[in-house]
This record gives sequence, structure tokens and C-alpha cells, in this order.
Amino acid sequence: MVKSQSHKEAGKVDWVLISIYFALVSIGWFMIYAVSHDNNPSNLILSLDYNAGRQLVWIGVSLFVLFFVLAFDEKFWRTFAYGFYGIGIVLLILVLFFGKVINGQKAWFGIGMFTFQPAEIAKFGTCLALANLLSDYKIKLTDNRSALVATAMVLFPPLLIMFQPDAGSALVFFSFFILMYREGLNSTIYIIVLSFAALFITSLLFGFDLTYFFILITGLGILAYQLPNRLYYMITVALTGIGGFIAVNSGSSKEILIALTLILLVLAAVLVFRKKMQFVFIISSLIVIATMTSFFSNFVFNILEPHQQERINVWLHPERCDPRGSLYNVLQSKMAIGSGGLAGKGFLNGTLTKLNYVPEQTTDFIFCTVGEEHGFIGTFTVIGIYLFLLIRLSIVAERQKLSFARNYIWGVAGILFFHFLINIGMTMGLVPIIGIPLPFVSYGGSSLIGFTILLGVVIKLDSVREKD
Amino acid sequence: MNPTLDNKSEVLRNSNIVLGVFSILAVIIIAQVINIGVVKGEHYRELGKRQSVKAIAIEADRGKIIADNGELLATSMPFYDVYFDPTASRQYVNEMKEKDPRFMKKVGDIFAKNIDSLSYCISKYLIPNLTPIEVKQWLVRKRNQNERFLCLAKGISHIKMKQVKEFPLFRLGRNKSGIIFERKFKRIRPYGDLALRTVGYNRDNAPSIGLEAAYDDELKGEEGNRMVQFISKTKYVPINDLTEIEPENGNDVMTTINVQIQDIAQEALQQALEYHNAAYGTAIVMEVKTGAVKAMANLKKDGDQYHEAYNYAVGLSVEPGSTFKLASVMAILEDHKMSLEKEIDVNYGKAVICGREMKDAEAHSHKTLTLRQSFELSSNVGIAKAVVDAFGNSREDIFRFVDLIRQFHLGEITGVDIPGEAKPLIKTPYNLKQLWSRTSLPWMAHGYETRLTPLQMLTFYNAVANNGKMMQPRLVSGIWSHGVQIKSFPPRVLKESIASSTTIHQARRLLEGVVTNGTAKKYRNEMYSFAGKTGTASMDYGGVKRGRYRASFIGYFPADNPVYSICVMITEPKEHGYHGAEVALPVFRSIADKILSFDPKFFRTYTPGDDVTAFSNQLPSGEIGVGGDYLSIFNRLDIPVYLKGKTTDYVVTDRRESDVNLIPIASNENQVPDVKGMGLRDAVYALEATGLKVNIEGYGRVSYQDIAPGTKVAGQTVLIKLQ
Repeated sequence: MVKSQSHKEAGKVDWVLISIYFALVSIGWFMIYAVSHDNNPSNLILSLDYNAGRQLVWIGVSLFVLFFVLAFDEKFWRTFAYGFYGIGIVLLILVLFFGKVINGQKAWFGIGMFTFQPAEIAKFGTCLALANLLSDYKIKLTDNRSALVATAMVLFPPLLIMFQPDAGSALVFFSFFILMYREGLNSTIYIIVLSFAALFITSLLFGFDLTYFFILITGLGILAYQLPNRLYYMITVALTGIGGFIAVNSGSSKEILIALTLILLVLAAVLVFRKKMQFVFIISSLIVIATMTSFFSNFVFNILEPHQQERINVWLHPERCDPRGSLYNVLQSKMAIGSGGLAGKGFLNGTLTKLNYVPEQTTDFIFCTVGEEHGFIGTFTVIGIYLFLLIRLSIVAERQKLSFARNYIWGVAGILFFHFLINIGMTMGLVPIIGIPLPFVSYGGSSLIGFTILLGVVIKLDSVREKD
Repeated sequence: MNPTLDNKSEVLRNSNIVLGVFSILAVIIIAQVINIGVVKGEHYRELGKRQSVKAIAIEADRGKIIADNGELLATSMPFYDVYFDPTASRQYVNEMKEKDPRFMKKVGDIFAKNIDSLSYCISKYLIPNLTPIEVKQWLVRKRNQNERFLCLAKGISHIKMKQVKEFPLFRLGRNKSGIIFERKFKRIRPYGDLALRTVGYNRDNAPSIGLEAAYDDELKGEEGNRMVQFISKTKYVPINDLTEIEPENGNDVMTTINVQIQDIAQEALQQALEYHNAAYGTAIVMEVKTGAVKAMANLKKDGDQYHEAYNYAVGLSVEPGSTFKLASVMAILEDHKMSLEKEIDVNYGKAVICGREMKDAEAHSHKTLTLRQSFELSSNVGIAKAVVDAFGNSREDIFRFVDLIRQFHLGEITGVDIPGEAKPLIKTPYNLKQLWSRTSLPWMAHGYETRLTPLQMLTFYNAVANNGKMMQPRLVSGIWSHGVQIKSFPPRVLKESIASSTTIHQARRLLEGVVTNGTAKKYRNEMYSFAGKTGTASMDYGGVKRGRYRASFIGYFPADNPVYSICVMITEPKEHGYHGAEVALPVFRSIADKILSFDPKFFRTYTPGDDVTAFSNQLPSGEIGVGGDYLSIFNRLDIPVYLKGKTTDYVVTDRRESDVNLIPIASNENQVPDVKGMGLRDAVYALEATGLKVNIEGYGRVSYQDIAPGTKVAGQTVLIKLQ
């Protein structure tokens, strides 16, 4: 249970958050060190020729940034919230013209030997701006106009990012809908969107026939519930469901589906006859919409780019993919995690991650190293720390009197959760492969500094909150 | 008013739902961790273990293509790319330090100890454009950058690879030093361009050609397989288990090509092409009795030079011209339609036949010619009129003529064992699709309106030389493996008899007549007899452009007992004439002359008493060999010979008025002999006899030795270069 609670020692930083921050950064650095290690004398590994050495420099810079943010006047962030958002948008447009192409994406600015992603700034800016917008007393997400403005504000940056194109960075912006839910955006919208997504995925996973079968059985159940002697009918529907499922799976789907459709129509007619016109109308509309969604999901899938289709296939139908081709990354990653066992192979003893089998071992797939070298103990610890961080952030958020601060902290929690879910889920094949870093752990200066600023501002806002 | 205060409880509920969703998804992630690690853990662990063990293909050696006497036409030589992992030594030292605390004292840092001398060697032998200091700086820098795959050299020979293996540091072996050799094979053709299109080669973006393609299944062998375990990114150790599969090396293909004859044919063809500034040409030499192709030269003008660029002999299907007249006359003779002595009105080489004007190659002063003379002098009008007289009277007769041509096997491919043989075209009478017209018969009679390849024409002439028995032309006599023949392709008869023996007999007299009385008369000679037919096909009769010709000569020698048949075809000669007799025949003569001078088949048996040394310049001069060998040869030939020194010494022959002096060339055992001019085998023998080790570069005869003759040596290595 989370409660809005007071804090006696307001004005001081939240040491719990700072400790979690240091814990994650250290775990990250040790994992990067482990990947770079490879039996070389340790004095060299700290040099700038190695990722571990370079990451050490980035950690130093991040600590400086954290200190700077904490020392800075917190009013600045709110005053310039829209300014940051504007800068983010301008940079996202400029990068399309002056950006450096890396891996086919025009997502980076190169300044000398440094590169940075304007998407990071846009993310921070959007978080500030949305928090500010939602704290305006004129804005109520329960009101359609406000909801529309907020949604537009959230979706504009990812729209620009898709031109780069960088699906991973764009998707992260959807994490702001977590904040908007917290601030009262109609939950029906979430249910509808998630239902469509679920239908889409179900259709791709099981094919149209089976999905349509599920829709029909659900429809039959709902309609049959309206009849007298409903128990009798419900059992019939359930048995039909089981029998039909076996029949559809064994190939005679056409006949079963046609028969069920006819039964559904008869049932609807009976109910209309029983003067339940409106109810039948709503249910049949839903069935038609669901069926259309399912039917067109394959069509939507086919207009995706081939590499996007392949990613979805790797996720939903790994059996159809080439283990040496598109499936390679996930398979290697699962092998690394699976080979760790309970306690892992031990620090510096991972072979799959070290022998370059696992791709991007220091950035997107850093979680594999944890799994291989430290087993369940390691992975549970890392997942536990993230969960603890999210819970702590929600506690910290809920104790804010200033709605700007609370909104901002929920925004940051959403971003971190999204990264955590996608990154770790992807290493285990739970979600499609989307190249986004694991916050505070993955190698890379621009992402570490970005997350440090996000969290730093949280700690700063919390430290100066109004007391009860 | 703060909106969130309005419905505080609802908002709080929302945050709890969000937190709940966070937790549920975290639980799902943990469930998946357990799923991967425990439920399917065994599966993934096994996969992971298997991954570090990999099967590595061991390349099979591609078989050789060899000439009829075993000389190499194409072979695969191993070459090596040299890579260096400069960090390997660091790993090794670190591992050893852990195991043995006194390692540094006993052995020390092998990299630091050897880097200077190693850099010197690399600079001297592998990367001459870097100084030793630059090499050292480069290696140290790359080592610090953890670069693990530095390329030191590409495509070095086996001998040089052995040298590199002995470099400081490298001599400690692959895993300690980080030296990596990647063996590759290059296809080598010791005779270069010789019979290139026949031997063939692999092309990157096109199908392979020639015998390399035709016998690829025999040549390629089967790849072997070895299991290795990777212990780091670049290092692996072989696992010695029973699953190792040795590669099966490819078999050797023995061709019928004779290097000497091929060389002669190619040389003669090239000279003629250059002299006449022709576009392209081909020359084929075939053994009459077996159909074995002894030489197949194809040259095409490419800028100023001629190259083997297309196999015209096999792939060029064109109107043969006058050489086809042999088939026409044989058709007349086979059906006894006309006597060879029948007079034909040739009207000074110009007549209208079947409504179209026909001319002889050149206007002449004969009003009439017999059929024999028409053939010998190659009168188009004479032959065409004779064929029209004989076969032009009815539909059945026309069909009969074409049937006879097909009876001579001219309508079918020969099936020679090399890809790309073009299909011949012999028109079917009244077939409008093939554009048969009433002029088709007379024009076919003198070699137009048909299409045949040079090899198909030669096969036909070869059958005539072989008394009517048509042999299939072939290029491969057998498949060999490790010096043992495992498959043999004996001569194959395409047709036991293409015509009656009378016809064949007459045909051969006709071909002899061409040389004694006809168009080839100018090139007859006293030394040997030959028979054949000239051809001068106009390439654009009826067309607008004038003056493009295809000169050819097909014949055989010796005329009375044919051993070889030869086809020469030269397209578009632009200078010094264009007639078959002027352009192609000299090539035939040149090839035949030279074959006669070296082929043992034509050597007279020597009987003691014959004066073999008619001229002193027939005695050998400056030839190098073993004294004892020369002694027995000259003694057998009754040539006075004088040897100073032992019979086992290497000697050089010194030619004098009527005798030969044998002068030893390496009298002192510790002195380096002069091996310049020697063949490889003799040179190696001579050098190794003095205790030297020999490194070899190139092919041919020795042109250079890096230790001067006469130098006192004891067991060094000497490098000889052959050219």
C-alpha cells in the first residue's frame, strides 16, 4: 500500500535512491569489466582502449553531473520544462538533416569523437513538459481536450524519431501513458488499446482460424448467458469450445467455424425475439470488430518492413527462424542465461559472453553476462533492485505535494520500467528484440548520463518538497 | 483547486494498479529466468557446450590435369596467408605465471624478449616497406589495442611459410606465439596460356569452362571434417576423436593433350594470325587411329595480342566453305552418280545455277573441268553443277543427298568430352523454317547454308583418313588417383564406316590430288606426303559488306599411312592474302613439319653403320647431364666421345668437329656447381650432391642461383630460380 506520507527531514536527499543508483552502476561496470576481461593483465583493462576503462570515465562524468543537478536550483527544471521539450523537438528535426548514420539510423549527432542521441534529450524534455502540463489546474485528463493535448505532446517526438528510424527509442515514449493513467486518463482507452494489441498478437501467434474460434466461443458464452436455464447452455458452450478446439487444431476448421457462426446467428435471433435488441447489437458489433482486427492483422504484418517481420517472427514463431540467422541473438542470449544455473559460472568465468557469441554483450545484452556468470542469484538480485527502485520511486512520487514533482517522478518511473521490461524481456525472448539499453548498467556514456540526469532531478525535486 | 485532491482515493488506486502491473511483469520475467535456467536449462547448457566445439572443414586438394605424358597442365599449389595475434603471447605468459610462480625467472616475457628480432625478420622477409622499428611500433601498438588478427602476408609459398615458422617467437608454436597460417589453394597452370580454354578454369561470375568444368566431379574431391574446441576467439585445439574425416583428395585427369604438339600448334597459329592480322583462329591436331585430340589451340585478337579467349574449335559453328566439298563429292561417289572424270562446264568460273549467279574464288581460263579437277582446284561452279546434276532432278534425290551427308555423321554433334559443343546445322530439304530454297542444294554443295564446328569437320576428315571409321574426338584418356589409373576412357568409334571403301579410297586420292595438282600444290614437299582440302569461305556473301573471309585447311599426314589429322581455321585475315592455301595451309605445314621432327612415331629405326652425324651441328653443345649417361649414349651411336673425370660427375657437352668432349662441372664436392641452364631435377641432384639444401622458385630451367658457382659451402641453403 502506498500512502502519501510526510518526511521529517525534508531538504535532504533520498539516500535509498542514491544507494540503488550506485548499486546498479557498480553492477554494470563489473559486468562490462567481465566481458572485456579475457585474460588480460588488469592494468590494461582500465585503459581507455577497453570498454571497462572508458565506462569508468563515463561513471566519473555522471557523478559530476549528479552532483551538479543536486546543487542546481530545482525551479529551473519547471521554468524551462517547455523549453527543454522545444529543444528536444528542434534537435530531433535537425538530426534528420545533419545526423551521423550509424547502423542505418540517422539518430546521432557527432561532435568530435563524441556522439549523442537527441532522443535522450527529447525523452527528458517530454517528461518535464508533460509533468508541467498535467500540473496545470486547467488540464484534466478526464476532459477530452486535455487528454488530446497531452497525447499529442507525448506522441510528437516518437513520430519524428520514426523518421530516423529508431523504433526502440520511439517506443519508450509510450511509457508516459503510465503517468497519464495515474493522472486519470480514462482506463477504457487502455482496455481497448490493449485488447486490440492482444487480438493482433493472438492472431499472429495462432492464426486467424483459431482466433476467430476463440471470439465465437466467447460471443456464444455471453449470449447464452442471457437465456433461461443458463447453466445448461453454458455447459453446452463450454463442451462445444473444447470439442471445437480439438477439431480446429486437427484441421477441419472451415466446417466448425461456419457451424459456430450459424449457431451464433440463431442465438442472436432468439435473443432479438426475446426483446434484447440493444444488447445483441453491442455484442455483435464487438464480435465483428474483433473478427475484422484478427482478419486484418496478417495484412498489417505483411506491410511491415521485412526486418520488422523477422523480429516479430523471432518473438512469436522462433521455430520458423534460422538459428544461425535472425534467431541467433536470442538463442545465444538464452544459452548464456541458461548455462549460468543457480550460482553462475563465477565472475570472469563466462565463456559464451566472452567469446563474442552473444552480440552487443556490453550494451543491449549485458543482462546475459549477469545470467551466465552469476546465475539465478545474480539475475534475481538485478531484477529485485529494479523492482525496489520502481517501488521506491512510487513512494517518493506519492509523497510529493507539488503535482509537477509527482508527475515528473512517475514519468521517470515509467521510463525506467519500460527500459527494464523491454531490455530484460528481450534477452529472454519475452518481447521482440528492440535495441534499448538497460538503465545504469549498459555500457555507453550518453545513456548513463541521460539516466543520471533523469534520476538526479527526481532526487533534487524530492529533497526540496513541501512539508506537511 | 488541485484536481488530484478531488478524487484522491481514485488516484491512489491508480498508482497501486500501476505498481501491481510492474510487479506482475517482474514476476513474469523471473518466471522466464527460471524457465530458461531450470526447465530448459539442460537444453541450453548442452547447446552452449556444443557451440564451443565446431567442425572445421579440411579442404581437399583439387586433382591435377595432366598431359598425355604426365606433364602438368593444371595443378593446385598451397599458398598461405599469415596472421598474427600479438596478444596470444601475453595470455600464455599470464597463464604460466599463475601456474608457476618462477616462470618469469625461468622463461620470462617471450614477447618482450623476441620482439626486436621478430620485427627485424618481418621487415626483412614479409613487409619490406616497413623498417624493423616501424614494425615493432606497429606490433606493440596493435597489441596494446588488443587487436587479435594482424595480417602479415598473403599468398606466400610453402617454402616461405616454413621460413616464417622459424622466426623468433613464431617458432614457439601457434598457441604460444599467436602465429596463424591459413592455407589456401591457387590453381596453377605451369604452361600458362597453353591450351587454356581446353584445360579451362573457374570463373567467379560465370560457369567454369573447359576440362576443369567437365571433370569437376573427379577433380574436386571431398572435403574432410575435423572437430575442434575453441578456447578463445581465435585459438582452438583439435579434438582427437574418431569422428575426424580425412579429406578425400581429387583425382587427376589425364588428357590426350601433348604439351609439345600443343605448343607447336599454338605457336604456328599465333604466327599466322599475326602475319595475316586476323581476328581469330583455331588449330586442332587429332590422332587418326584413336580420335585423341593432341592439341587444341584457340587464339583471339585482344588489342595487339592474341589470347586463348574462346574455344572456337568446339563452340564456333559456321559455314565451312570449300572443305565441305569433300562430303559433296563423296555423296556423288557413294551413289555412283557420276564418274570423277566427267567433264563439267565451269564457264571460266562464273555461271548461273538455279537462277542465281555463282563464282569460283577466282576467275580462271578453264571452260570445262573434270569432277576431279573441280575438286582439286576447288571450283565452286564445278562441284555445285555436279551435285545439281546428280541430285537435283527429283525431290527424292534431294533428300537422298542430305541423307548421305548425314550418313557421314555431319548432322550430329561429336560428343567431345568438353562442355560447349555447338550443334551442327544440315538443312532438311523443303523445310521452310530452316529457309530451304531452290538454291540451297548447289550452295550446300560448296559449303554454305550449313553450319559445322572446326572439330566436327576434322572428325569427318579424320574418318576419311582412318579408312572410313569415324572416331569420337576426345580429350581425356583416363582418371588417375595417386599414380594409379582408376578409370580409362578408351577410343570410341562413332561410326564403323561412314561410306563404302571404294568411296573412301577415291576420297583419299582426291585429297592427295589437292596437294599434288590442286590448290595446295605450292606447299607440297619432298620429305613427307600429306593430303587435305583448302577452304576460303566468304563470310558475307550476299551481304553488303565485302571482303571478310574464313580461311581453312583440313588434312592429314603422312598421306599413305595417316597418323595425325589437322584442322586450321583462321577468320578474317586482313593482310598477306586470304585464301585457305595462303593462310591456313602454312600453319598445317608448320605443325606437321615440327611433329615429324620430334615424334618417335616418325623416327626411322637406327641401324649401326648409318652415319647419324651428317653435320657436326647435330651434335649436342652445352647440354648438361651425368657423364656416364652421355658415355653410353654416344658409344651406342658410335660417336667419338671423351670424358675427363668420373662417370658420376655432372658434365657439360663440348661439341667439336666430329666428336664430343665431356667437361665435368663440379669437380670439387664442397664447391657449388654452376647449375644455370639445367632442368630442375638435374640442378637439384647436382646441388644436393654437394650437401646443399635447395629452395626453388618458378618453372622451367635454372636462370639464377643465389650462391655463386665455385663458392665453398657446407650444408647451406641455396635458392635457385627457374624460368
